[in-house]
Amino acid sequence: MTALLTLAAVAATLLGLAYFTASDPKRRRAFKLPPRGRSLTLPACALVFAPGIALLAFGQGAAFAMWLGAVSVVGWLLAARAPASSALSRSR
Amino acid sequence: MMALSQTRTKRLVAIHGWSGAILGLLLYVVLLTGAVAVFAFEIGSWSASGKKAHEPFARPFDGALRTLVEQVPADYREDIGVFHNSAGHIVAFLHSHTVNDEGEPDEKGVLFELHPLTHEVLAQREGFAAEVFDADPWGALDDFVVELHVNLHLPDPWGLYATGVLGLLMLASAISGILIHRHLIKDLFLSPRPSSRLLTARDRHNLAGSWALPFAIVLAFTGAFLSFAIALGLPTISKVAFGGDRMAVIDRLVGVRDAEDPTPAPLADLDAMLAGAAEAAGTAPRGFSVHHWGRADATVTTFHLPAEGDLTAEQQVFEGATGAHLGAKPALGTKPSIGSVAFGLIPPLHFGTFAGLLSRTVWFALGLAGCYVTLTGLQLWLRRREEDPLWRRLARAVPVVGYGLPIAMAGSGIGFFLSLPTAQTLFWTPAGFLIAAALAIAAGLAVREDGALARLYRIALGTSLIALPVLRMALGGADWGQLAASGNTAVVAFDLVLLLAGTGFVLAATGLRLGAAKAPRTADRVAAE
Repeated sequence: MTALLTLAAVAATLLGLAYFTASDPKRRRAFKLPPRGRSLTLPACALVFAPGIALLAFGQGAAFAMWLGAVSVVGWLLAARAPASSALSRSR
Repeated sequence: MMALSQTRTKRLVAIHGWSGAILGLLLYVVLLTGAVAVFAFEIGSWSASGKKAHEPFARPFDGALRTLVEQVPADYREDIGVFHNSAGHIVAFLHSHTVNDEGEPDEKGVLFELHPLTHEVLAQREGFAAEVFDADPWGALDDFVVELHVNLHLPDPWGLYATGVLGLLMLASAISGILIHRHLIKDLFLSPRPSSRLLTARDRHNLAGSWALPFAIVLAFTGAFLSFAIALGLPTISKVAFGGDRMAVIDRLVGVRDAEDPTPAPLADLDAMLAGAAEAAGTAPRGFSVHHWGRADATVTTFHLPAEGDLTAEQQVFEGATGAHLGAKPALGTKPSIGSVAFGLIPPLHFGTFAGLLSRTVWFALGLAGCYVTLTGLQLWLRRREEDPLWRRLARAVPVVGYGLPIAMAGSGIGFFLSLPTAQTLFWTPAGFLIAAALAIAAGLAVREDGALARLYRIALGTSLIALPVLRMALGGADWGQLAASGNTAVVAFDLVLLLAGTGFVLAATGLRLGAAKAPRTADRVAAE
């Protein structure tokens, strides 16, 4: 049960992080990509933080600690990938 | 972020950089061995080709323990510790509390190793705790890895001081990193920019460091606490407040026992107490202790892994003479307190062993992330100084240690398996580590070209990792069919992970990939790195 809760929470947070990775203005400028039009910052923020808050609220200490640790690693791996559609990343 | 004056920023950059430059490689050693040590119990079980019983105390044990008690002098019935080792054998240490040859408080007694199903005595050793525990040939590999992380195999207390200082260094680096990185949040999704080598190196370090920050602080603080609490805290408190009596400090921390009553009284049914403990804690006991066997003031304490969803481990206490359940015991003292809760959180947050393989895997990944931050930080520091011949020589040490350490750790495993048939693992496990480390250093000195050296190291690491499961099975260990039949699928998974990781390193070294068109690009990158 703890493992399932953790994996579900990490997956939800990952969706929010994927949105930020794709739309981050500085990242897009650095890789010469056009800025994104519509902003979904608030729902994406909720997706990132709500799973952790929910785990804490329901007293799932172990799942919360694993969620926080997994998000630290997965978030880094996600952000470290250069945008696939960038001309700069293709020239690397 | 916090606005700092230019002078302060420069000072913090100097602290961050110099601390990493001086002790970064040692910190990498502690981080990588720590990441591997998260799986210490699994490594022990894997090296013993699986456990003979998954819940050794599920079978009645009361009679077997009473037989052992009859075989030892009365002094050794003062305290009895029972647990199961990595091979799944039941280990019972019947001992008294005394002082060793160095004048330090120690435990002396007889250690019995029993078959978990038949309770047949497989081994028996008498002596001080360190002597009898360090003589277990099955535990040589996991013990070696854990000791390397905990004290770098330096003598007590210097090893603990060293790892404690490295923990504080990591804490200082993390905090100074927060202060000097002006765009910590803004750069959180900034992939390393493909411009100059220096900027790419900086982006890599900053990105990994930013994401790793929360847990870098947690792991550094808890690690430094665990090192200094034993090496420095305990002796200091005993001198200041207990007249140098360390046992008195431990008694106070563990919880002051009731007034002593040496009146003879037989121990109640142990199996009933173990069953009651499992019901109260929600998990089967992983071990237990009996204090004052055969006396009216005897107590039985059971130790459990955290229950489903919990972070902290539990202890249950029973009155030995009557078998009455006295309740759960806090980690510190006899009554629940904030201090006890905080103290109880330190081990799970440092070891990550609170929720089975998932929590261990997450903590392993966090350890590897810490290694990456340390090595990229060192590379950044050295790249800024690559014109200086002195720093250029140090730059050579980064790949030597970076690749040499995992190669040497794999070497210790190879030494373990090769010596297992002759039961010489206690000698050949560290010897294997040293031989592999010496070969890695020799390669670093002999091969001048960086790309060629990286390729050589990757091939050496890959083949060593592949050799481990092959040697395990070739030298008498159970094969995958036998392991699956005995419920030891974790050993099969461990074998597969080693085979996959080893193959990955060999493929990376040879420039081969599943998509052949990408091969030249990988080879170029290896050469450039």
